[in-house]
Amino acid sequence: MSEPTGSGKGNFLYQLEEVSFSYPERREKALNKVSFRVRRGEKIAIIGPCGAGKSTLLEVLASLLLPDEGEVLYEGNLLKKPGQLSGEVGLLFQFPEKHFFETTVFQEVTLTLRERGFRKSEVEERYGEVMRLVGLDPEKFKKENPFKLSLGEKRRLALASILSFNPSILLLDEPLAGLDGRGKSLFLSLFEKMSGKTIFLVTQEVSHLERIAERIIFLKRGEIIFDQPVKGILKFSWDEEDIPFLPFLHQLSLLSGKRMEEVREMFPMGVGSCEKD
Amino acid sequence: MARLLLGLILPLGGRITFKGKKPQENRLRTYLIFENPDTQFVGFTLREDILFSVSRLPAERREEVLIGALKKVGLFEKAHLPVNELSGGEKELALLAGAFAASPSLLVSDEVTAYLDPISRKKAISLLKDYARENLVIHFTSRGEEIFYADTVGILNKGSLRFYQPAEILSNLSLLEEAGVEVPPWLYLSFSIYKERGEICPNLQALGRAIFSIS
Repeated sequence: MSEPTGSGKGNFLYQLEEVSFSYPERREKALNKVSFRVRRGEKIAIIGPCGAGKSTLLEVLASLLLPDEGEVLYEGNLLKKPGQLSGEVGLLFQFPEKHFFETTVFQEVTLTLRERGFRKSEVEERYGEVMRLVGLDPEKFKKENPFKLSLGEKRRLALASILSFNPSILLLDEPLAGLDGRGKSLFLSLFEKMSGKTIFLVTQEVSHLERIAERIIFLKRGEIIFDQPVKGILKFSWDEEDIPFLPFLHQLSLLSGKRMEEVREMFPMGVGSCEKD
Repeated sequence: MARLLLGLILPLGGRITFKGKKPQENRLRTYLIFENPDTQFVGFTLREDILFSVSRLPAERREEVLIGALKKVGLFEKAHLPVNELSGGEKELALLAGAFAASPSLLVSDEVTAYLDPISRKKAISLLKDYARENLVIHFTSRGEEIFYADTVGILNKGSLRFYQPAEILSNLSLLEEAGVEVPPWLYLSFSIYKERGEICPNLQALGRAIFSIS
């Protein structure tokens, strides 16, 4: 995995300058003049109402979509070709089935490795490693059909197939949606362990984002409303209609005018069942 | 469980009936909202997809029901869009519209709120609750707070039913947690505050009012 290189303009991994994107049938833009900069190793949560452009933004960062207007620079270089970053980024789709091509779990996880011509022994070894990492038994699942797994298992499988080629950037689209408390715990602790990687996390499960993200981008109707460290939330003057999309304790603090410490004291049990492990 | 109720898979033992009939004989009256919207869509555009739901109605009524269903979930302006251009949350609302348009007597929803933001989530749940006035709705969810919208709560843990009672009777939230259901913090707090008063706390705003006197 590559370490922070410090190359390129101003050491930024990504620079987005006034990026806009529209889908052909939609009148309003999915992204409208979005600009921000990201350093390697940053952990960023992207939140906001549904249809705000969050998933579109991930696909732009993955170089799957090229902007209609504006520029995306990666390590100082302009992205010009769709799929240009496919070796660097792991994009976890919202619906895990979108990942699956193969008929067995083994084939699915090792697809990229086999395509890139890794030796058989390396492929086998890497398969075991990533399956254990996501908490799936490599032997038990080896011959299973990916489409017949439960949602939680499908997500883990999709994540394993991404981690197999060790991307330095993870783009995670709603990885916690539809998981139960235990499933969320497992995913959260997995992401916490990935310290060297740059992570973009799109999520509606905002109570947990402090565990993974240091910085929050709030998107609404394709525009950035807020882009600051988590603690900046309380100092920002929010529109009333945006408050429900924020983490729970921050909401209470904003609504009541009480300090975070006071609000936290009200909840000795923590912020949700996933906090405990 | 959801698939069993619809007769998409058959039980190895035991019996399921709805209005005296087996699930597989009831397919025209029952409807399942899948976990993954992409496996449910049959139309290219949202409009075409909902048209499938109303295909059994007389031709002159289809348009009206279709428009009504889309307006209900707030997607009327997006009817012309290809379904694959909808966002994850919009897809789930589209599934709800499809279900309402088909007007089944039994509506089973599998995690339909998973990809929704907090506002749309509340809307989706109240739409389901409305629908449940005249029909049976069974809503599968891993979100603990949604139990308050239900008349009866069933807790499934490792394939067996651990609880099946009205929500008010649920006195022990750990039953939910043991089953892997996420219990948000305000639910705990509201449980202790409201339990003493013999009421249930329906939402975060009410809780905020109770503990901080937020107007």
